[in-house]
Amino acid sequence: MNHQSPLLKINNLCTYFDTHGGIVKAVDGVNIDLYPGECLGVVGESGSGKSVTFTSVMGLIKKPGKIVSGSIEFQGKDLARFTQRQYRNIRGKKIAMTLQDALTALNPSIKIIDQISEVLKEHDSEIKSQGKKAIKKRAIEMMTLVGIPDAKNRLKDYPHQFSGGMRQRIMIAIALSCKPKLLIADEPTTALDVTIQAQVLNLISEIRKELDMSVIIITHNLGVVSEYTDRTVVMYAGQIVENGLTRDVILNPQHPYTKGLLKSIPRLSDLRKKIHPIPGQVCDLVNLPAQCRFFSRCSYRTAACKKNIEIRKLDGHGEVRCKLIDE
Amino acid sequence: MNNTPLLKIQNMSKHFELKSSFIDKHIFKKRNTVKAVSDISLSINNGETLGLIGESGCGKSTLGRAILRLYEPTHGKVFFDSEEITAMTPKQLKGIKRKMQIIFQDPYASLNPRKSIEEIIKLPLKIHESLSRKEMDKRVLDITERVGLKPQHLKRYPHQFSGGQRQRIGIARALILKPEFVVCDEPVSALDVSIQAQIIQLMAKLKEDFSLTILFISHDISVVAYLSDRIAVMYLGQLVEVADVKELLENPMHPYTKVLLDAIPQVEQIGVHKRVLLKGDIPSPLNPPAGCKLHTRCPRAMGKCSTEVPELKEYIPGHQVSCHLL
Repeated sequence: MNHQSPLLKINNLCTYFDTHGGIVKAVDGVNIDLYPGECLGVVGESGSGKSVTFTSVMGLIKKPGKIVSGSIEFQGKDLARFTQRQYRNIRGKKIAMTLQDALTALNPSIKIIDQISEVLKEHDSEIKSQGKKAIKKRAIEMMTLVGIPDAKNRLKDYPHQFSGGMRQRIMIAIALSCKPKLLIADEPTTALDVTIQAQVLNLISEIRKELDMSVIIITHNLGVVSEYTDRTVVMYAGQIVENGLTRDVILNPQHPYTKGLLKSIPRLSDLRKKIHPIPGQVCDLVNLPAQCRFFSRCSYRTAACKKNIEIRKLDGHGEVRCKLIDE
Repeated sequence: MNNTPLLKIQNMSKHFELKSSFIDKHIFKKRNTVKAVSDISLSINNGETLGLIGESGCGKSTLGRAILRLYEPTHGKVFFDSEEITAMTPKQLKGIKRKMQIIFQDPYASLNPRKSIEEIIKLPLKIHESLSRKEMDKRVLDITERVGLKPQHLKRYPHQFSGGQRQRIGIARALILKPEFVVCDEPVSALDVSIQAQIIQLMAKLKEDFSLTILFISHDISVVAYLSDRIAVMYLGQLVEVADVKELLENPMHPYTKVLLDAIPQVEQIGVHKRVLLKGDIPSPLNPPAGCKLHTRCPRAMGKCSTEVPELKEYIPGHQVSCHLL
């Protein structure tokens, strides 16, 4: 798979927020390559920068936030230098994003059919030229594709008339209606119950195969990552600490933070296995220490960790940001 | 743990009346009632942790609150230590409440933003016990340390704390009266993975220290399984299965429990595995299906399921299920 050129290449991306309390380095030097057809999982806790990284990709960073440096290459063009006008050809058409909270992401006062057709009218000139009927037909197709029962009769419903799982599906339908090359799903299932979560994730992976698109799933649920993604990126305090094939990251984690995360979740398969929490809290993103950012919480720390740690390639596919891993 | 029930719930129901229009009410005599909890019987033994799981809207939080009479149950009785809580006067209830406490889900909404941590933790003592100021301060300091906070935190206000620390404050407030029974309503759901683990570990320790009996409500089955002795599964206001943790996980008998357990993505399972999924969404509790409430979504529903309500019966000692298939 890796012989192709990447679809998305995030290069040393830094997104900072200039707040009253100082400059918050939400994303600080992130590199991600995403290949066509690949499903990437991005894991991290709140404040790790996982959402900000991909809102940067979508060009949706608002003041006081700013992309300070780095590039976001998508199909050979640098999105970080795009104007909002140029973005209109990309956003919704080639890259689509679904947000965590489907109720606030959908407009409560616009009918579902209009919210889906809006994207088609904006981006799909072919279908637009065929007239209203064609747009409506396509909207119904999309709703059926994401498994909304009785789609024909629900076109004129408003978002509040749907359940949480159905709203998430509608958002996916909107995101997929222009057949994007890349779908970014930000916490697609956090607000959903497990049975609905399984339905939504199965749907995403089926559609991914059908449309041959790349998918990025941003989540804090390691179970979701291990089941649905090919490759996993672990983020901590604005940086990537580990990056590798999901199988390697989950079964053979290298970075102490990844190890700690995996040890802190109770396993249904082995109830007697005790959990071991990571002590302490994430460091302050304003006053970042000039050392490994995980230093104060790490149980393996040594004097060598008291300086800035660069991310390093491992023998296999992976990368890790830790001094303890042998060079 | 011994086998005398500390808490006993008998045929409890809790219905919420919704506003209905004048015409509906007086001409059609129709009322909109949400049957959040219907006819649940359950007992919790002394020293036991009972996990209560189910999807959102299944009535698990309502049940937890109705036990403490934070909601008045519509029908049924609750006994605590063989005293009937549901028949108590407000004065008697105050006496018993010091033995029964609750920890809430949202650590942001459950702490008064205008009170310092010290005031928040001390309030239950002021209400329920007549102690000298010195003794009170000692108790506050003691519990603060036991939940892993520092004495200098006491003068601060809730907004100065992170989610995990706030949850520690909520726990301190619930435990300062040394209660016998605690309802934990999704205490770790709002927290990040690493912080969640800290709180789970703290709760496991405090459960031993205070020899607590706990009703642990959560939608996260792995968290419930880690902390509980027994698990009760709820669907649309009813219990569908009750069993020991190990028994329930190894031998789930109700189709809903099976689907629920199967739906959890496991960390060790790399790659998508085929699973049986329920069709559609949870039906509205305003208008629940007749018969077995799962029949509209159940992969193995048969004719009888849509008409007769299955009873919760004990099939294996200690393992109760309500399903027609068995």
